[in-house]
Amino acid sequence: MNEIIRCENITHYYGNKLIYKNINFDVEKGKILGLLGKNGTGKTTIINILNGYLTPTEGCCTIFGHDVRHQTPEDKARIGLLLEGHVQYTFFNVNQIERFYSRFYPNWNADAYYDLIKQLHIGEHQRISSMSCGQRSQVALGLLFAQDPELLILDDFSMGLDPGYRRLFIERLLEFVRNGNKTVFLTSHIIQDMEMLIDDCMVFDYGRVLLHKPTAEIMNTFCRYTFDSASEEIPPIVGLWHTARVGNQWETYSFQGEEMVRSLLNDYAIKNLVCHSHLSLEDAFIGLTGKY
Amino acid sequence: MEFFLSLSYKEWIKMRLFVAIVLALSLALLVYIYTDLAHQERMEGASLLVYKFITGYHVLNTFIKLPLIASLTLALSQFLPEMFNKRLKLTLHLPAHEYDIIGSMLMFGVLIYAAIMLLTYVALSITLSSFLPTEYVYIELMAFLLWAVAGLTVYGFTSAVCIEPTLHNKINIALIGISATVLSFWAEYVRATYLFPMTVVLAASGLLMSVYATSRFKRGIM
Repeated sequence: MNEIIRCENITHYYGNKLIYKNINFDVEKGKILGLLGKNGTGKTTIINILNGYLTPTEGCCTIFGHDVRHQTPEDKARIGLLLEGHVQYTFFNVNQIERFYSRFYPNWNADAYYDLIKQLHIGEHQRISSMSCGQRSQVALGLLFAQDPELLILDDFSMGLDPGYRRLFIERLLEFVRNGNKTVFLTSHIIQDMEMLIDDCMVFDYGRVLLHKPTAEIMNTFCRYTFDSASEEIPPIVGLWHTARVGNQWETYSFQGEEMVRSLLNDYAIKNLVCHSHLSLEDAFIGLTGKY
Repeated sequence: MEFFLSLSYKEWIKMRLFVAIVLALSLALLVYIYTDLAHQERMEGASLLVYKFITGYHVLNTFIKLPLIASLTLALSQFLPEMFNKRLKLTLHLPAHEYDIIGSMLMFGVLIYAAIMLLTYVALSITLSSFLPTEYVYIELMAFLLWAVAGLTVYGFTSAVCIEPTLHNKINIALIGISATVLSFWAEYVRATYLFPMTVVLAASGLLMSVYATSRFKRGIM
């Protein structure tokens, strides 16, 4: 079984509001999949579905081949969960929380936790409630490392972290994942963080999966084009994304090469077509989803 | 059993301050009862004190508040921190079946409550025995025990209100819980001991309501 996560025909409504219609995706073993999407496209909803905290209106997700609505204790032990905002039991102190979790997990590695905690220069008896958001994120990450799960599900891991802690989080996570052949499903609002972390990228739009491709492929082939045109309006064209006038120029995004883009825009008397390759993931995301 | 003990560690850390507060309240009430009885005995004499009991005086009526306050405090201290930032998701993600998890949490709460009531019961029996004949000590202690069982209704329904994910159902459960509590405490306050089985059924309903609310939380009902 190469797919750790498989979601098939997921449709979900909140009341009458459609969130997704028939979405399908897999996450292969050893891959880091980043889920991107604007606010309200259902990133946290899919995390809740994957953790069994929400039953989709239709469809089914499996993790390790088992329906997520009926996760066995053994499967739960194999999944590390980071909730949005690095939520943990703040009434514990640093030692107590380690002692608590260690009793539940057979592969518990206390050294992994304390190695990370030592670098934070915090006391063993400091309560989590008195820590900064960055310190709490490291405690949550240390607990995940100690649990040593096969799959990590991280919901908006960068929320509330300053750039230093975000970088620290990513570096440590990458080291842990690469050394242990772990699978990761994560979301984040800060797309530039994802760029150095994820193998595959899935972009949600309202109600559907817009794109699911390897990150390298997106960054190597997706380009922003600028051009001049006297046209007042250019309608949506298959193969071009979010064609719009910006100031005196037009811009569009495409996975196609320059010649193909030129031919797609042939009817609009374009001049000075320039391809801006090597987009950042954030630029590519804006190109795919639009600014609004 | 091992799972229950492991989970109990978290519950204890979370609740211990509030357990201490409830114990302190219990102690304060005991001191009050002792000084009140000692004062009445000194002022009116032991025989008049016993006569007051024969004619229907109940020294423990102040104590009816203890099971109510204790159960409410314990339920809130146990389940409000779980609902803050939806931490219950972390708890339900522990490697066990969700009914084992919520069952263990409720069992811990009930055991702590029972331990507090038992300690109070023992201290009360010692206090009352120094002033009253055995027959009246027995009557008063029976009343206290029945109130203690009625307190479990408050614990169960308060827990359910905390866990229930929708506001609409929270209100429904709260209204049912308040009615059940009033009925339980009224039955025991007027010493209608024949209604004791009803009190037990209401207490069990409250605890089952918490399990039901957990199942709704787990399914993500909004």
